Amino acid sequence: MAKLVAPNQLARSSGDNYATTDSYLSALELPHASKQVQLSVSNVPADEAMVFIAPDSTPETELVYRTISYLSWPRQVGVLHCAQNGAAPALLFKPREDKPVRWLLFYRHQVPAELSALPGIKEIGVHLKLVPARELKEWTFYCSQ
Amino acid sequence: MDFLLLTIALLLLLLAGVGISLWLLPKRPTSAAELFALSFLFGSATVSMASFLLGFVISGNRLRWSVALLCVAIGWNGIRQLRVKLPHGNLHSSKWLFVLAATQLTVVAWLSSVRVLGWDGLFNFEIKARLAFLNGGVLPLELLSDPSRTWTLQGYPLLLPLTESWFYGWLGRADQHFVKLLFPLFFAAALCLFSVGNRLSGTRSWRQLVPMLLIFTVPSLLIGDGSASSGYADFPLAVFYLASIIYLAEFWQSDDPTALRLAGAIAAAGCWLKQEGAILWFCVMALTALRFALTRTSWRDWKQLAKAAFPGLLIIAGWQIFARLVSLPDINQFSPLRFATLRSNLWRIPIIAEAVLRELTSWRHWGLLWLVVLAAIVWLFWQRSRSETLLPLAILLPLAFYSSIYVFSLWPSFLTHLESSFPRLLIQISLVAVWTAAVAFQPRRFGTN
Repeated sequence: MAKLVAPNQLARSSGDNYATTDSYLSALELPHASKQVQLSVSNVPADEAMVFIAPDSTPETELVYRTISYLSWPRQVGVLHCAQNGAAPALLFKPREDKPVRWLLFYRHQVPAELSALPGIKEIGVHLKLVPARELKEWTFYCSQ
Repeated sequence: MDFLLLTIALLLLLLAGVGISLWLLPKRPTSAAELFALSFLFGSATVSMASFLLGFVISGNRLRWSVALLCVAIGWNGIRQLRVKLPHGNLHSSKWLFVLAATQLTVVAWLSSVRVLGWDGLFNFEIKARLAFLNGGVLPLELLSDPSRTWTLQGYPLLLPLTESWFYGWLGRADQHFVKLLFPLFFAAALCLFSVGNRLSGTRSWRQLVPMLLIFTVPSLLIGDGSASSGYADFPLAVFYLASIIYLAEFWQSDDPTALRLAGAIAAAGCWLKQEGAILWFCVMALTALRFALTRTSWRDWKQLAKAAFPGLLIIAGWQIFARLVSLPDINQFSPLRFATLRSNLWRIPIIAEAVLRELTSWRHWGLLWLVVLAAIVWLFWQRSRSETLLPLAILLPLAFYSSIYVFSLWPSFLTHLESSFPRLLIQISLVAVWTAAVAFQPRRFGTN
């Protein structure tokens, strides 16, 4: 995987505390992306988990997912890649069972209509949305939108 | 202020390293360059190990000051027996050596500064440093059992993250920019070790510049995954391996058991840096055993080997016990080394050999390094001097391990596995390769004086 994202490593450093994570989150097209992500997830309780829902599993998506997980400590973050070459989407890096998934992070993926009306949705730039999810549905539901 | 705090952290680390180096070094004059290199390697091992062990009982400022006091105590004990002697010899070539080293170090520091951390640099090492810093200098055990963060490779040893965390502790914040300044110090240690190698091989005049010039023709050592500017553990491990082979060569040359003890201690510290450190430690011990087998086999000599092996065994066993106690997830990338697996995967060998050859001759990664090293190995074997066979074997043995392991790869495509990790494994032995090429270039080599 490291080999696949080598171009990001060759990116120029801003010289900031978050020089690397800001560079890795460049796909969010957001200034000071690391701090904004940290600020947005700061209201998520530490014992509740999140799932990052992405349309694909390209190296760029993987980079954004891991960087968000890096910044979200101590919250656990799983990942759901929707496009799986015809196979059903599977939850990877599944959080522990004692950390219930209560939040969904939609990355470059449309939020289902019945969730988009809920209060408490946070937009982190135009490509990422943090959505509270008190009752989870089948994972295929979130990918079918 | 930031630089002052980082300087304090570095000086304390070096102080601990000085103490250990002076305790372990053979009884002979020691140059400032040699003392710096060893102090940095042992200092980082000491600070990280002390933070890890003391972290079970204390944290926060108490941990930081306890480690600082330990550094001062170890350093003071060593300084009482200080016997540093500055290098002498051809002043003209020393001047050029210094200018070249300073230039190279500046370039590596600049590369580190203007580029971001690499994938593993951030997700395997810096993340642990950051979390340890946020947890008062102690790596939170929750991380080690977090199934959503298995991609941080929780089973990796902690020399690098806890050294980075030590600097964060003094700086008062986690900083993805400043942490990169640690890696040019490993590069500086490598340059200093080349000067130790030059002394050992009796190199004089402009030939002392050869390893330094050669290292700068290898792109993979300067930029990209695993390089000196990437924040990965591969280049630091290469420095530990170079140091252990230099002192093993001194042992082959002088029969001084303290040189062997030093080689064993450095190889052991490599086990605390990365899992492959255990393979390199094994190579150092196997080469020591070979030396004993070739020369003598008295019980006392084998006891020397056992003494040299002890620190490495302690670290490997200690980490395995810890891994079991905290139930570290075991991410198997390779099947168990069984004869049946080997037999069923024999068809992979020619494909692996071709891929390895392709990588070794990739001039975009390695320049002409491995072709030069191949010529050096042939030349050194041609000389048929027993003491000179050490260096080729110190390359060929780990190279054989690293290449053949892909026969047991569990990845759906073992070739993708090889292509994504083998170049970094090569980095770990590349500094020894550079030194070997430089030694072969000398008219008077170690073991002949």
